[in-house]
Amino acid sequence: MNFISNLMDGINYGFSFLNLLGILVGYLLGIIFGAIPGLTGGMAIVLLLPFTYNFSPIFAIATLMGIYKGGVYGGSITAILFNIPGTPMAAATAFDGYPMRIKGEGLRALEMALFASIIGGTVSNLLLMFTAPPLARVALKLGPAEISALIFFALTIITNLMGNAAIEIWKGLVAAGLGLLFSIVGLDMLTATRRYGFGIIQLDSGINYIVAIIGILALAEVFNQIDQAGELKLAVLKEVKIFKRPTMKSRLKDLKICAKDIFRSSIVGSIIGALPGLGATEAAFLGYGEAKRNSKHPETFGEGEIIGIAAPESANNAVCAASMIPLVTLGIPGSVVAAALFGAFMIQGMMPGPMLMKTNPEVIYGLFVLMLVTDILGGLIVAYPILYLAEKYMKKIAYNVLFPFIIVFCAVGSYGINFNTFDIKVLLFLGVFGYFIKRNGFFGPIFLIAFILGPFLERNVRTALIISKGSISIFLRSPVALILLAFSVIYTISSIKKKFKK
Amino acid sequence: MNKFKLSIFLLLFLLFFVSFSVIAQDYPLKPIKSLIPLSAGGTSDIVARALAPYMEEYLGQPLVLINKPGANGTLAVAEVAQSEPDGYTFGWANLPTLVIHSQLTELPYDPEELEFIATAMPFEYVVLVRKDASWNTWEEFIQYAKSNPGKITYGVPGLGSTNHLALEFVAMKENIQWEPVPFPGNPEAIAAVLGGHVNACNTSTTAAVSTVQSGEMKPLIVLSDKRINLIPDIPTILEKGYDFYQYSCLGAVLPPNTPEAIRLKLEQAIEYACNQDDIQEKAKNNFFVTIDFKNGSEYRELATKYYKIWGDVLRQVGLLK
Amino acid sequence: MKYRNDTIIAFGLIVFCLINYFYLIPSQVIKQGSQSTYVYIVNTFLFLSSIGYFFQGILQKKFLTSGNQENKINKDSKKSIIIIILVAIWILLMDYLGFLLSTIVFLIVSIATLSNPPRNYPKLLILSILFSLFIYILFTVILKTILPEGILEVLLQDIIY
Repeated sequence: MNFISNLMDGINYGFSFLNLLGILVGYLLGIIFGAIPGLTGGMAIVLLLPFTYNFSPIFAIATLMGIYKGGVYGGSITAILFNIPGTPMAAATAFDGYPMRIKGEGLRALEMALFASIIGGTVSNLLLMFTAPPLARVALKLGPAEISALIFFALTIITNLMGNAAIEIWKGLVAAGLGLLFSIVGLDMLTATRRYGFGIIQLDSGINYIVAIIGILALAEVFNQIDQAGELKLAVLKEVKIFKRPTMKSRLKDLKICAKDIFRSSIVGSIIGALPGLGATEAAFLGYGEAKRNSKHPETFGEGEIIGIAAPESANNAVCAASMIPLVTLGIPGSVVAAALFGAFMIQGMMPGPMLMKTNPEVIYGLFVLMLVTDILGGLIVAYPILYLAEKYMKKIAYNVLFPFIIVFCAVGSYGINFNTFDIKVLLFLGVFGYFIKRNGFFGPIFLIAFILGPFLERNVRTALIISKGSISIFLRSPVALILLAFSVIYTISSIKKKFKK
Repeated sequence: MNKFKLSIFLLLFLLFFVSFSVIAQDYPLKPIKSLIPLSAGGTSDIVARALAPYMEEYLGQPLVLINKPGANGTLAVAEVAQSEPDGYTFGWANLPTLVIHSQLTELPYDPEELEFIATAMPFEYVVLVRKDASWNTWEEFIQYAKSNPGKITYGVPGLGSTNHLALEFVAMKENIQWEPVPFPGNPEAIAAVLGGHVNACNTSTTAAVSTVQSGEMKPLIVLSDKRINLIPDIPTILEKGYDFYQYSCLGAVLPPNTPEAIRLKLEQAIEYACNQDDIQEKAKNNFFVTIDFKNGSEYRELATKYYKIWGDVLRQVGLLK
Repeated sequence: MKYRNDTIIAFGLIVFCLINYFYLIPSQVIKQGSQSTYVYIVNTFLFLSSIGYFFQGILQKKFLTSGNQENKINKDSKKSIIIIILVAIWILLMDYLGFLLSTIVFLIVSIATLSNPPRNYPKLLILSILFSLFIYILFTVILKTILPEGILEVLLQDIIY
């Protein structure tokens, strides 16, 4: 058996004390960067990448994978504890995580986020190991037309996040429109001409989506919580006498409840991850939206529904391994992190891609095995104690003293993307904007989903139209695109119908 | 609070003292900030980072390498142009950033005024089609494009990139019509060819290594002036009788009015780094690029020449009015 | 209170969309040589949503008597506005004073604003300095990148080199 022998070679090559240590240290770093609002795991990878140039390839890559996965998980901690997502990918986790925390179920939420992360990551790892080549072929077949339809489909989850009252539906649409409009700022991605430049050259690269998410979700939330300082949520929390500790029985029960959604989200995350360009944030929102759409009691979402944590967390972790699929099978880095890993491979004299699989399968399989280990070891050895420590100590900390530090982290995190103070100014603008819309009953995440997906939709639709020379038949000829578009329409109509019945 | 004010004054005083003393001494006296206009992990980033230790050895001061991607790299160059001309900030810039984008959009700097240090590496380009495509040679491809005007689509990393302009230059020469399809980068363009969404792509060699080696992609022509290690059998555009090749390179620039002595010192540092056997070998075997040092005046000459060449093509394809 | 806000915001949005149609898009998009189709589509979407929002706001205002509409939780937005202004000043100062000095000052002032007296100023000062130094060292010494430079940074570099 070729696969088995490759796998054994991979285990031999990859398993060493040092590599495992690298994973654990990386995971820890990832959690720290991920949990601190403003800093992200992706940023840690980009900043630490030059240091790995001096290490052995597999150690460097193991450490980076640890950071990557730890970073994706770490965001959920602050999302649940403070309602301030530590990373963009954890934005959806806060919807239900924080309400659970208020109810005294913080630990239950934190544990579910971890379990869902481990399971999502593992499912995606296994998919990478066993089905990478066919999955990569499928991903390649999705051209601009199909991706347009897929993104359109993803956009329709917005209708699911809107409230039921008529005014809330209108507000949701306005928020989405504003999100789309904000995303237009910057150079036109096809022709490199300016749009809403206002003579400021820094606006050419547009509003960075990480800055937008930090601003709208983290900074705006800080401003919002400052206002509530008088009757701070913490005070409410102190009154909750019963902090429910999960037991073995309750954990199994929770996992049983969420099993279907975790599995669905893992698949959704893996597919999104395998597509070049899309990432964990989109996957998390999509996972959440899908879980709500398929739930028998969607009204519990946003009030502390455990599935609302399991679904986005398994989806965003599933992206990690899946985003390696185009890299490993085709030599095409599909995400920022994959591009950084591409560099890490190359500096070591290895060109990731189909050739590496043929000439040095032990490297690729070593990577697979280490990734599998990362989720399980990192999750149980590193994340589990951290989660208890965080829960314990964050109860004691004075929130109002914490806010200025969070603001500094947000600013430094935005600055660190391009090393430009202009990004901090954009951050403040968006923070104030997010605070304003929040106080007036708009839902920030809707704005963000439109903001993130809008440019993808525009780019892919326009690219598809260039390929078809302006004819919209390109969307109708492709069965995949047609089915996705039909689904989007059906879902939108049915969810609006549901709202009107209420 | 008074103590506080006093300390600020003290600090200000010290600052002036420090900054004057620094300029007077021999360059360099402190770490040099070096901006890379592309994101971490890309070819330019890796080459710049591979050169850095040897440059540090020569200069005797550390380099602080900072990735500042954004706005097609013009953001980093703009910052270099606006920084103090004291030699403590320089930027890696590739040629198109200097000569194409400055024609397409209004920028806060004039590339003519920058001080050109040197170039370390030319980028190499290759036109690829899928392995099962019906064209095996460049001639067949051109013939098909001629008899089927507008039918060929090719992927490029952005309109106005040299990849796009070079193929439009060919189209002008051959009097053919084909359709550029812009993608966010080289990898996406290759993916689109593999998925059958476009017919061909023009990408930098490094991005194509893996798919070419495994036979997924078929190279048709090298658009650079010299043949490439990776695909020694594939002829260059010059061999095919065109009097033109797609030139783009990774070079370094300083803010306007930087003293010549400082520029020269940095030029020598880059030359020193480029001449290391270790670098040459790594470039060839690991990164699939060629290290080819050109000094500041040669670099400036090339920039001036290609400013005109690319400008003409830009006008032809209607991106520039 | 809440529903009057709605109509005002909706009205503002409608005005903004009109400005966008007749001034911003022609000058900031078309004149720059960019395609305007997508921009017009998005603006139209926002315009129509805002009109719907506007009329829904008026409609709901009619149904509700004026007394019931006050927000139950009377949020005190004074502190957040002070903090927002402090952040703005901090960001502007950062370009001139550098990261360390501006951040230390920002932390001291903002924590003092948010905490209740009696305030432990020495502790506050030490905490602010240590935290700012930690971030500075993390970014410059450990990660080998930069933060906005000013007086303190130049001084520190001079001590190091």
